[in-house]
Amino acid sequence: MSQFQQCPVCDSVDIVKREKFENITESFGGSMQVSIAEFYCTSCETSFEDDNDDTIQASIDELKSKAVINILNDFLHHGFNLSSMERALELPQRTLAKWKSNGKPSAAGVSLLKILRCFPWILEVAENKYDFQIAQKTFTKTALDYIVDNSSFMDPFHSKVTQKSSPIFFQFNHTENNISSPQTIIVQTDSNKKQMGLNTSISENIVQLQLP
Amino acid sequence: MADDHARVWREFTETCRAIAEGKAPINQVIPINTVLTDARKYYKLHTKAELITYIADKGLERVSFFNKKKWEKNPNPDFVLYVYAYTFRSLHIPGYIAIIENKRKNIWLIKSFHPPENNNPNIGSIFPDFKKLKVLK
Repeated sequence: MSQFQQCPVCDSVDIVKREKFENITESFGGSMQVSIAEFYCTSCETSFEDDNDDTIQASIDELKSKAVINILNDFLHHGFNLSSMERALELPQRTLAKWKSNGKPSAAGVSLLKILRCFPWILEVAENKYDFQIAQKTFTKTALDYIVDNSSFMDPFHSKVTQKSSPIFFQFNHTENNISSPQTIIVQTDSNKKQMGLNTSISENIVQLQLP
Repeated sequence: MADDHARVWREFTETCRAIAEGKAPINQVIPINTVLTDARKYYKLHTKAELITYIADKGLERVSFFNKKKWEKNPNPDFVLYVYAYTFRSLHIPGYIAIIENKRKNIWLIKSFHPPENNNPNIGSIFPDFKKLKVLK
């Protein structure tokens, strides 16, 4: 039953119930159209929402669940091993597998996965026990590698650089706000890891760029 | 009469805290018009309960009084209601909140809750020390 029988602003009983639709978006989980019930007072032209909290919360939970499954599937498709990730992150064994099967980690778990999805090289930092120096080094390396891989002006062998970049990994569709499926299932190799910012070396890139 | 914006803000947040702690009915604070839509859109506060708890838990930082105006759309002009507007920051996002106190009904209306419309600071507001150099007028 709705909580409003009269307008809370002017006490008029000339209120009409109406329905509007809102798009609720969750990063990596996509979006969903939700029906919102609201009242409109024809006397004072004020609108106020009915109790939609449960409906909205249910939609958000569903989208978060999708986000968790999408992220973990994406890691698996790119050759990551969930057990190794659990070990690096010092999570209890099979935590990620449980999250993947039921899609319902805690709110902190969802945030952790989103951060990992945005910055997969954090796994390397975790692997090294969050050592500050190594964290800084990994971050700088990843940034430099990204610049080198995506900068044609830095290299006379432009075609080689162009060929080298074009990562198909972790494509992120900003308009849909979800992960696009990879074209193919990729087996983990050193090259894949490098594309994701793991175990990369700036010196290695420079040597490769100087080769004809 | 001295401006009572500090009292209004204090009593408003106290009401929000009472609601968050279950000591007051949730209908004592009513977001109207597009407040909840804007809270969802700009601040990831999806429900009315989340919005009220967020205010109660001092989620609005660096709250600063902006202005006080008579509510022009007041349906009952004999009983004057004032809109108190404040600016705030929420981590990295600036914000603007406007509230109305209705003492007769003992309720609060949240009229606006969104980023400030003129969210384009000039260099003087970002670097206040520049003003002292009189480089900027």
